Amino acid sequence: MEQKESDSIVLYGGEPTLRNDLLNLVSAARGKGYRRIKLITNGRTFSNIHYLQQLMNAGCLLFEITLWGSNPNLHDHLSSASGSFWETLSGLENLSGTTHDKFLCIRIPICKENFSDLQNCVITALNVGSNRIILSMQDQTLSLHSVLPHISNSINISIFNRVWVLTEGIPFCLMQGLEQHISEIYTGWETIYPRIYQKNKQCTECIYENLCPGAGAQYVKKFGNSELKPVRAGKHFQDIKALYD
Amino acid sequence: MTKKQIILISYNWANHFSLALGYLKAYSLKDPFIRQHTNIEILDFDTAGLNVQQVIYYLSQSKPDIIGFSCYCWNIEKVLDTARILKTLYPDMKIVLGGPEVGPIGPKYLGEHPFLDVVIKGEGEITFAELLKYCLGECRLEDIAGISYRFNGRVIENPDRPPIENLSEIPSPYLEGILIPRDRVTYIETYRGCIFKCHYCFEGKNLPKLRFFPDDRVQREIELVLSHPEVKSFHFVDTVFNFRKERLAKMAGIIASANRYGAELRTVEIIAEFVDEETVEHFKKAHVRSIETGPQTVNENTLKNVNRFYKEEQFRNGVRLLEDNGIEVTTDLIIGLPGDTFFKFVNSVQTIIDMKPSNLVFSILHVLPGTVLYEKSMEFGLKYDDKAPHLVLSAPDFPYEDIDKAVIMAFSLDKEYNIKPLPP
Repeated sequence: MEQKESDSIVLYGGEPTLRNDLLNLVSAARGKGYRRIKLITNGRTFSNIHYLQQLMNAGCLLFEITLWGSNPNLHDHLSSASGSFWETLSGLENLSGTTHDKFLCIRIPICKENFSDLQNCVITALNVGSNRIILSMQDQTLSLHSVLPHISNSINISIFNRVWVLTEGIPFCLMQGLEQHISEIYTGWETIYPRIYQKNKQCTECIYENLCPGAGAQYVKKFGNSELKPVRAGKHFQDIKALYD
Repeated sequence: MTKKQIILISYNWANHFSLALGYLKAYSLKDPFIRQHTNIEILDFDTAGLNVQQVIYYLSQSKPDIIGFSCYCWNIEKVLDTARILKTLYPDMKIVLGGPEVGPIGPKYLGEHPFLDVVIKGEGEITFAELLKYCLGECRLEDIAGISYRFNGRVIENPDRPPIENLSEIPSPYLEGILIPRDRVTYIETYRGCIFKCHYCFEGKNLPKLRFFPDDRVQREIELVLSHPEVKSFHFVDTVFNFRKERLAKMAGIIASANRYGAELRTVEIIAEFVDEETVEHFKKAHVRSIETGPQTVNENTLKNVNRFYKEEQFRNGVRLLEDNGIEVTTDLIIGLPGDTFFKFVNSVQTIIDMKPSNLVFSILHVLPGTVLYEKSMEFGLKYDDKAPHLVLSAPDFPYEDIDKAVIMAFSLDKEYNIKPLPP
C-alpha cells in the first residue's frame, strides 16, 4: 500500500500478538509512514507491561480488544482460555495506565451465554478507559428480541458515561430510534468478521433495503422473520441514504 | 498628581499572552498626558493554572485604580469571579471589561453584574485611552463612544465607535518593547477584518472592511520576532492568511529574508480553496509548517444558512497539495450548525476524512454575541446556553440528544484520527 493512499493499517489474526515478529512489523509499518497502526487482539499479552510499552514505543497506539464477559467464568469459557480474563483485564489496566496518547476500542461479542452480562461488560470497558465500545451480535442462535433490551441499556450506560458506542450485526429495523449507533451505516458492510446475511421477503418493502445487511441466514432458519418489520418512514433515512450516494 | 495604577489582565490558555492588551497599552502610552500620569501593567494569567484566589492575592499587593479585563467566551467566568471579589474588597477600584464576549452585549453584562463599571464595545485602543483620560479628569464619560457604563444606578450605552480607519495610529507592542516575543505564543497581525461574513463569526460582520497595518511596520515586527533565536515557531492572527496572492508573496519574502534561525510558521488560518502550486511555494518560502482551514460543514443548505464559502473540489485539491508538500492541514468541523442533522454532520466527517488531512478538529457551535446567529437565533430556531461559552443546545433538525451524541462520537473520532505517534 502506498503511503499516500492511506496512513492507517490494521493488524489482526488469529491473534497477532502470538507472532514473535510483531514488534518488527509495527516498526516497519511506522517506518513506512503509517501513522495509525491498529492492533486487534485479545489483549492478554499486555499483562506484560514491558511488552506493551515496546509495542507502543514502536508506534502502535490504537487497540481493539475483545471482552467476552465481565467475570472470569464467562470470559474464560467463551474465549476457551483459562486465566484469560485476568490477563486481559490486567492488560487493559496496563494500557489505561500508560502515558502514551492512545485509542482503545472494546469489542463485546454478544452470544446466548453472555447477553445478560452485557451491561456489566460495558461498565468494565468504561472502567478501563475505553474510547469506543462495539456491541457485536455474532450468535445466530440467540433471539434478537431477547438481546435488544440489553443493547438499549448498554447504549444508555455508555452514552451517559460519554463514551461512543456502536452495534454490529443487528438489522436496521430493530434499531429504530438508535440509528446513530448502527456501525454498518458508517462502514457499509465491510467487516473483517465473517458473517452471512440474508434478506427476507418483507425487507424489500423497507426503506433500508439496500443499506441494511439483514439478519443472518441461520438466524432466520431458527427464529423465522417475524421480528423483522420493514421500516416505511424514518426521519434519518434521507440523510443516511445520502452517505451512500 | 499621584500616578494612577492601571492593570490589564488576560486569562489565557497554555502560556499565551494577549496581543490585544499590548495594543491597548501601546496606544494609550502614545498620549504624553497618559504616559505622565499612569503606570500601565499587563498581567497574563493561565486560565487552567492559577485559581482566582491566587490572582486576587497578587492584585491585593498593588491595589490598582483601574483594572481592565480582556474577555472571551472561554475566560469570562474567571474574569467575573475575579472582578466580583475585587469590587467587594476595593469598592473604589474601577472594573473595565472589553473583548468579543462582552462588547456586543455590554448593557446585559452591566445589568447582570453590578460590580462592573464599564464595558468597551468593538476595537478598544482609542476607547480605552479616552477612559484613562476620563479617570484623569480630562474628559466626560458621556463623550466616549463605544462604551456602556453605570450612572446613578442606570446602565447607559453610548453610541458605537467606528473601527479605526488607519491602523498605523496603533503603535506596535513588539516594536515598543511592551510585548517580548516568545516561542510558540507570538502572534503577528497584518490586517483586521475578514473577506467573508460567516454567520457564526463576528469578524466579518463587525469589522467588514479590511484595514491593513503598514507593510514596513509589519516587516519590522517580523524581523524583530525572528531575531529572537529562541522563537522556534510563531503565528499570524490574520483571518485569512492567503486571501490575496501578491500579499502572501510579499509576506513570504519578508519572512524568508528575516528567518535566520529557521523559525516555523504554525497554524495560520487559510482558505484551502485558494491554494494552488504557487501558494504552496509561498508557504514553503515562509516556512509554513501547519495551516488550519474550514470547512465547518459540507452540507449545501447549512453552508447557505451560515453564509460559509466552500467549494469541495478546490478544497480537496488544496488539502492534497498542502499535505503532499509536507504542510500539515488541520480541518475544522462544527457540530450543531443550523441546517445540519446528525447524519449530515456524519457526511461532513466522512467527506473530510476522505481528503486525509493531518488533523480533524471538531467543535460545538458557540452562538457568540455579536454574530448573526446570536442576533437571529429565533429566526434560525437555535436554542443555546445564554451563559458563556454559549454552546448550542438544539437546532430545528438537530435536537439536543443528537447534538450530544454527535459530540460524543466526535470525541471518539478525535482520539482515533488525530493520534500522534513519535516520529519513526
